[in-house]
Amino acid sequence: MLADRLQPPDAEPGPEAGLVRDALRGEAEAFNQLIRLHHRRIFNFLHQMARQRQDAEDLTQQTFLKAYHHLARFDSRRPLINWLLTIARRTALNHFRSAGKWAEVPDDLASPGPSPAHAAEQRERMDNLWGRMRAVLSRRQFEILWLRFGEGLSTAETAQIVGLTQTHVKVLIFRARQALGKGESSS
Amino acid sequence: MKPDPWEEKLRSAAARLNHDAPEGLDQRIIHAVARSARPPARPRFAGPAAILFAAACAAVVFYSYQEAAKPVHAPAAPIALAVPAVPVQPEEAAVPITTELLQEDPLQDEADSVYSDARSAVSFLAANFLPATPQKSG
Repeated sequence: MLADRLQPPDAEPGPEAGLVRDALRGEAEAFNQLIRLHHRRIFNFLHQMARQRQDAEDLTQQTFLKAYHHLARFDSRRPLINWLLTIARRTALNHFRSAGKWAEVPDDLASPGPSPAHAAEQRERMDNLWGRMRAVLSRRQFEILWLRFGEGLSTAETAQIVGLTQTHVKVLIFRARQALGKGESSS
Repeated sequence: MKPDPWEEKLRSAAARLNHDAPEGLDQRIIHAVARSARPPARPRFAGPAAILFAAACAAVVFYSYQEAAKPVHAPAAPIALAVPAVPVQPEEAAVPITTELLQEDPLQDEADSVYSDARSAVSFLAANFLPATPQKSG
């Protein structure tokens, strides 16, 4: 019954719709496949939000647990990753609320690269741009910029994930850009 | 449309800022999901404990039923004592028999006690307040 609801007749079937349908029928391997497909991207997003590797791991696990238990609510007309990002964002917000912190903690740069010295240098250079944004922008502006340009979502998709209108998202990006320009010119 | 250089800069910076997921994270998530999907295991002593509890309940119910089925002697005693205190009229000679019967039905016992008291009261009133039969003088 739930699986029937997943696929409205006029909807384009998403790439993972079959896996979701199978998972709803109780096939554990189908949901495991969805975890393998998306856990890296969810972890990366949550690492940007939480800035702590261990927190990001815990939040990633919580995200997939919530997704598993509420899979029947997934609208298969949307890409699954957008729904997972929505859950991940809310999970991270709850985490920030309970932990009372946002971003001003040093990142642990633990990801390996081809050459450690080169990777560290490159990471520092690139991290500075987003690191500067993290210092200048509000949490909401940062997450919107990350979803829009870091995750490569459209304005509409970003708006849907953060629960705002597209116009509001555009305004926030515009203001973020202005704030960054001021920050750069003053530094 | 020409891409915005600022946006392109953000995209390329974000692409290089990719944090690799820790080794085995997917397996840990899969295990966590499997654990949460499994119904909680019942403790091993739950079955015998449930049987013992049911047996104890049955024993208590049976004992209560047995106690309730026993003839009630205690309420009958005051009635038996009360009856002789009432001035007995000749027509009330059947009271002891009634009392014995009432021992088996407390409600009937109570009703008959009320009836008996009422009759005694009426007899008392009649004896004391009704005018005596006038004496015919010569």
